[in-house]
Amino acid sequence: MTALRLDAFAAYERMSMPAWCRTILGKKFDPARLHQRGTAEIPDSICAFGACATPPEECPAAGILMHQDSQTPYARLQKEWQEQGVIFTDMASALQNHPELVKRYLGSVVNYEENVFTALTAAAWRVGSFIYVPANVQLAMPLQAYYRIASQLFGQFERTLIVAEQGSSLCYLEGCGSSEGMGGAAHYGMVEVIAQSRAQVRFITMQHWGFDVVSCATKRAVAHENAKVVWVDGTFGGKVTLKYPTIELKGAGACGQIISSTVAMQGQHHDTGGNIMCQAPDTRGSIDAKTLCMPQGKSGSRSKVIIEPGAARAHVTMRCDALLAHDAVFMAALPSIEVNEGSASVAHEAQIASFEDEQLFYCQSRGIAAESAQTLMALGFLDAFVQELPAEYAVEVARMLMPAMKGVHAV
Amino acid sequence: MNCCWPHPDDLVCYQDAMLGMPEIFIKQRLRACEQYKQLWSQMTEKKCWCQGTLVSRQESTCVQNIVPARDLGQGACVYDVRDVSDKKVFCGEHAPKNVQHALLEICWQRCRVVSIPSRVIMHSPIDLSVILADGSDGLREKIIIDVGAHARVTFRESKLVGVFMRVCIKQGAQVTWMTDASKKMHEPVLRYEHYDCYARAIFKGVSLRQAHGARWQQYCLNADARVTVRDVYVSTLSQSQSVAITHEHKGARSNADTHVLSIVAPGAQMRCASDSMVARGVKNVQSMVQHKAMLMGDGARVVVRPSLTINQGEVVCTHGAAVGGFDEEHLWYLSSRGLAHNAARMMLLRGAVHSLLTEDIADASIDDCLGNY
Repeated sequence: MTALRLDAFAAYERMSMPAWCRTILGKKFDPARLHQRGTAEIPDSICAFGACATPPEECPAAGILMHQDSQTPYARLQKEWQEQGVIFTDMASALQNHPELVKRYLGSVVNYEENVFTALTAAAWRVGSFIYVPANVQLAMPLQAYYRIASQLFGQFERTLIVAEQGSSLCYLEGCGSSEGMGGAAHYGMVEVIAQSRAQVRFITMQHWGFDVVSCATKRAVAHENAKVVWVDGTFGGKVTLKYPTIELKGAGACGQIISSTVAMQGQHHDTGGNIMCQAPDTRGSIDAKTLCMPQGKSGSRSKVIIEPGAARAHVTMRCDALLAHDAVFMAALPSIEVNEGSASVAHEAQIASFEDEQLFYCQSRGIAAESAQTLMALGFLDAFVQELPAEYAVEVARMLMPAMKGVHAV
Repeated sequence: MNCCWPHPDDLVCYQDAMLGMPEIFIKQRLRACEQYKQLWSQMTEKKCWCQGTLVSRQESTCVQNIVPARDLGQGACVYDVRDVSDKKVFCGEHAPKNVQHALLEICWQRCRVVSIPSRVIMHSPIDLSVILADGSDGLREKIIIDVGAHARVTFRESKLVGVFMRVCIKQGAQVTWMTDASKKMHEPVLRYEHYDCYARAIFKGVSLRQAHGARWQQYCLNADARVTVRDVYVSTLSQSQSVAITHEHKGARSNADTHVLSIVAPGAQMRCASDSMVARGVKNVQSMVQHKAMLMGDGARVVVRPSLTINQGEVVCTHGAAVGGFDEEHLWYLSSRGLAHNAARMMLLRGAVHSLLTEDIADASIDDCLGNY
């Protein structure tokens, strides 16, 4: 691992920041600027927003991991699943206790030489989750992890590895949050998901960093024969976010779905989206990216579909929508479709529009206050995403949107 | 991706063309040379996705003769730009934004102006292929079209494969542009078209093309301007086409509606990019771009890159793309009514093309164009 880290760091020093990234993040990131030692008090709540005060012991999950700064102060996996061979632990422990599994799968999906962020994360990672679900084990309850930054100028480098063996299924819920005033903190993530044949993986991320945290994540899943990967990705906080979950459909009949929702508020710049690559026959995919752009918020949506030669009868639908506040902002939708197979089909649709005055008037004429009406409209817009969330997270989304709507629009 | 644009050092061959040219154009060309160098180096750093084939056309045949002015009736006329006293008007204030624009700015040898006076209604269409090409294909030609305020005119063209065109549509003018390039062309197309639509101007462009090469269309829309584009591109075996369409919304309430259909043969490739940009402070804009690509078999390749860049809240911008082969259900339906497989395919293709071109392009041209299928 040390050799791997050194190689990755050498690659990082060789690489330069991609041109399109420079416009968002500026010059190349200096890791020496951040420190990697933080505090390790256990947070009171497991949920990403802090308001759902569920103590970790009572949280309805098959397993829980809590990562704070560079440490993992709390880890639990129910005995029932331990007995069935499920592994759910932090990456450092996995390296010590299951080296053969880590060695086999780590880096098999994302190569550290792919870009400057993967190189840096591969060199500097300290926290992360490791999940291994044996063949034909179906986790009835979700596994839950919580990432928290609690120190100023802290660099949290996360590396997560999920392996679902044949016929298994799991749901992984990841919440990210930090206290306000974490001046200059950064979160760099690298997530690898391997869904073997007939496996089903549902990966739900809810990111709500403080307003001064920079977050760049490389997330990729590989789906083998008849496997299914669902990626539900919510971006709400942070100063700058770069995140494009990717699904490679490698096996025949594999299926991938990406549901991405982004809310860019004042001073935030979120560049998100999703990528699907069809590499085998009869693969199916869908991308549904929604962006809510508030006054003075900036947002970009980069989704990509690639149908490679040999992916006969592959079908992908892509939808990128944005809802803009009237006195917004900057919004760019930059989708890309590449089809190299004659029998494949791709459908793409996108719309960028503002809050409709008529809808607002309709709600107000029924006695709903303007702010509530706008929240209602925003929730309706993000409905596909909210429907995928557990109840406590869905409630938090509504609670969080309410203050964001203040002063957005006045009829 | 192969980059086939000439190296900046190879541009020397175009210097001959500057002999006898008015000073203002020489300065503009030298400026374009500098910009080309910069853009070329940027392009080679990145991936070049818009291919051009001007390299094979570097032979410098100096066209220095001034074409005599030609009357088109009702006050409209065509004349050489060197006959104009105030050439500054035709120099163009826009710096080249991409390599193909810069290159065409460098290599044009003759520049002619088509002028349509204000408030004139031209009852018969103006055939640009006849009056401008003079038997050539328009290669290394710069064409400036100036449509006066509230004028109404229809332009037709069929074989201008290599032009650098600036079209200025003044307040309230209406322009219909029909391109019928249904005959297969052996020379690759390399066109750069810039349309300035002033307040309340209306532009409608309909084109049917069967040629390989690259085409860039840039539309600047001022307040209340409307642009409608209906383009059909048909490629035959191993052809490569690329189309880039840019809508710059500079005025409030401007409206752009673009539909592009490409029929891509096995082994052929189509690249289609569109960019809708809304400037800050420009409100109530509507912009719609639709790409459809029909893949006619294995080895057909399509790349679609539609993008929207919005700097203002009160807009409705949409883009859509559909890429795929024939709908098997439609084919089955027609086959079950007794149509042969090929006839059913042809009928579906013709239907798709007709739905875009409506009555603007003759049925015979469409049938000719689709004859290869």
